[in-house]
Amino acid sequence: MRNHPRDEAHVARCADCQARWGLAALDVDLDRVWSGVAAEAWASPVGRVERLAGRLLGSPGLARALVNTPSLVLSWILASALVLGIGVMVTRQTEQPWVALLAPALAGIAISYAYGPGVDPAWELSQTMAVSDRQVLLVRVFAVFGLNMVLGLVASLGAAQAVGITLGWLAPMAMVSALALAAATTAKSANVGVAIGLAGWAIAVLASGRGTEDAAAAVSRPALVPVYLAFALAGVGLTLWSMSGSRSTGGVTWR
Amino acid sequence: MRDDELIAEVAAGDSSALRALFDRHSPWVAGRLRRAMPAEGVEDVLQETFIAVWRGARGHRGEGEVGAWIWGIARRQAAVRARKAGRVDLTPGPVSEQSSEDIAPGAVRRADLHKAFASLGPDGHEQRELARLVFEEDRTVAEVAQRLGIPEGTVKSRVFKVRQRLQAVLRQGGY
Repeated sequence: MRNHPRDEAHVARCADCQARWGLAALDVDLDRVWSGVAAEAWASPVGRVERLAGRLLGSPGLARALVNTPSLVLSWILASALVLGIGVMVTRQTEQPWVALLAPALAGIAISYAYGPGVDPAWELSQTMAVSDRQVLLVRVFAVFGLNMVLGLVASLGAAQAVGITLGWLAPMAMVSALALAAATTAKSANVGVAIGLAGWAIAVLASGRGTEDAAAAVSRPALVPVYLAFALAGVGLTLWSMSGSRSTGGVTWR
Repeated sequence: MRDDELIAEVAAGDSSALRALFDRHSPWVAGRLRRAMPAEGVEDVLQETFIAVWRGARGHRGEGEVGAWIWGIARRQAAVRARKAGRVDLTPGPVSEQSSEDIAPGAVRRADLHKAFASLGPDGHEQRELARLVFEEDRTVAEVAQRLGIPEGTVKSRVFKVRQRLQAVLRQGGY
């Protein structure tokens, strides 16, 4: 290293000199630089789905984050449908509840891969947008649970065992996600959304569990499914209504 | 993965390959640029440089080192900025005669840098070992790769992580 040439052309080609120069500007924030680069790299044309999501959510940045959710891309959806389809076939042949086993696992994996550095190519982009991380997370969780609920219901048509797990877990989770999203959007605060979502679920558990010792069974009664779906739809409606006012002001800024 | 392979991936639209190139090359390009302009100027030039890499990867003909190609872009971007904000001198200094404290930013004293090195972990810790070999013992990338049993490309990428860690430590310490 001591005898390396001094000229610029050498440094530009020498891995050893480059490695040593890697420590030469610690006051330069490379994370900030990368955020700007990533924003440009992701500045692809806006598609129909993204445009529609942008109108509904009142935030182009949030729409971009939503359509780039790793566990909502077409390949993931097809893979989920394939796994559940195989589960239905195996369930019919073996009469073992494979769909019931697979559905929640898929949902869990999908949620795990819905957000975060390392798994989400749009995560760095989201750092450059005027969109709260929690807002992105909440929208994605709702979308992932909604999708998994639909897939679970479709699988239930072919395997009766999936009905219980779909109705008992995915439908309530979709409802809670919708409720939290609606509250957060209305209050423009993810914290309020979380509080209202949890409070709504607590009320549902307490109300349906009255007079019985098995609250889990009580909240998963098929009779409650219409209620869950009604709340989910109401949550979506409330979200759209609260977003409609923000569109004219150019977007939403959350706390 | 080699630099030319990464460029091919970038040309195909893979942003993770762009990130890998950024990790390998942004630290030293920043170091070279920092000698001639303030930190915020370096950040602007670096951003424009890697955006140009993203857009122009298809135009890279595979001739010569990727690092030289990126540095050429950085120089042009610096020249553009110079026309707007004043003259910039990017002539490099005597690299081979500079030790780690010489190429460290002026605001960071040698003692602080050594403390920061210590914060990377106990003796033998991977990052500390890499920092010691590269910045203190002046080993070549090939030697470090052999010593640590990792590819040379990984050595370059890990310099980026060491840099981030040192930066965080120095900021926490108010240096």
